[in-house]
Amino acid sequence: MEVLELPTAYLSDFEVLQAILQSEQERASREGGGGGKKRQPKNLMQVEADVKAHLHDRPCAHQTEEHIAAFLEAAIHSGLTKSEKLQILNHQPRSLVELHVLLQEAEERFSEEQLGQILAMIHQHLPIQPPSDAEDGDEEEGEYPAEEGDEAAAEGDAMDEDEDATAGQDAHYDGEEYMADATDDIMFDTSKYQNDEDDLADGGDDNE
Amino acid sequence: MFVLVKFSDSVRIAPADFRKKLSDAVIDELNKKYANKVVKRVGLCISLFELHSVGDPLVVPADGCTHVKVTFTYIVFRPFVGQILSGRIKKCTPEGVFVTLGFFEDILIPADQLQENTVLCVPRCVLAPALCDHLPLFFPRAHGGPMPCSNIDTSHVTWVLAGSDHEEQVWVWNYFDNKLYMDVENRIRFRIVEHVYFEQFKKPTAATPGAFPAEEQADTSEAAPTQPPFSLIAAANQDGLGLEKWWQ
Repeated sequence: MEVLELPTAYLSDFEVLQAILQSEQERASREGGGGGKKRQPKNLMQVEADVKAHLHDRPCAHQTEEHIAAFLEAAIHSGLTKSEKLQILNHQPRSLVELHVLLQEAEERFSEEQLGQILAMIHQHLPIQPPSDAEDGDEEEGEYPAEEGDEAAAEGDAMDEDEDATAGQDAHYDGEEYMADATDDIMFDTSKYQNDEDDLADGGDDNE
Repeated sequence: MFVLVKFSDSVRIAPADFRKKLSDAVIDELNKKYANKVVKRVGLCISLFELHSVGDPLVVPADGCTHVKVTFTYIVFRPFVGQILSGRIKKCTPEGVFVTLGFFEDILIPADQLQENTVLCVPRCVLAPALCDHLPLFFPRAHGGPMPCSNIDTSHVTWVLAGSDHEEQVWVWNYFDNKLYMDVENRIRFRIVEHVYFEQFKKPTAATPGAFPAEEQADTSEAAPTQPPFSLIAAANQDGLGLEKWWQ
């Protein structure tokens, strides 16, 4: 085993949830429906179930591709870095103090007015999280398989933000290209903001 | 908190799986090998994202299986340092607060990384009288209930005695006059500070040729600490961090 690239891209909670639902779908269809689950390795079933349980408890359970595309498009000129947008999508802060935690040096980079605008953007484009109930999970699973085919590509674009946010709807990236794009973007984005770069670099150094 | 990592590996496909499509057999093998496993210095592997290339299956002498070189990307749990995550409190110990994400349980917020003026409340029953002498602080319930003692101990961690309303030890944030309990199962938000990887080494048996290898091995495995291969150190010492309900 060899690690070729670490990491090639950062995924939002939503993308992970979709990827897991999709891979479950694929396996089910491959095994011809019922009884197929038994053949899957236990470790995979376990971790996928746990991750799904965790993610269904998070804001991403109520997000759709449209929500994310709309938010990213709106956030193009907000001055948020890529990792900040990712965290906002994962956490959906509803109050100023929650937003503050997610941003690097928020006080120096943003005025109160701007922070208010970002919050308004979150309220406008991302779904309000209803109180969790048991049915959520089933709905999601039922909804997505229909558009399975384009999902991976479209999700990829959700991460490609800035320039690519508008291209999100029509893109037909293949996997390789998307990977390269995503990494380039991160490099570019982080170099713009010293602090952010430090952060990500730290993460890397720890693990070299 | 999830990333895509590109790996290359050689996959061994058993003859029983020859009836499957090659790519399906490869996917199954990769999931069997990687899912829910920690890769050193990388993170916790979750699920296969996509296959990039699948080489030709090769047969090696004395093995009925085929071996295939593949490159693929895997979804890996690897939060970057500084990332904010949200999980549930698993337990409170003098070390700090342990947090679980469901699929990943080895997250520790050390005591000195909690909000300022956070103290550990220990229920009366667990404190043997003799033990109390060794604790920095000891405040009986009769004298105003659980309270940090500001004039004796200046260190961050202060021991106090909890009332009967909490049966387990619990960290309490003294926010002005409010006591905010960090009870088990509550949602907590925290910032990742550090990744910790732990590798369990097997001692070479060659050093003591006389000893039975099996015995040697048993000894080392007993002595080895049960540290998880991958754990995270986190912090919750900032406005907005800590229990989510504090900030709503």
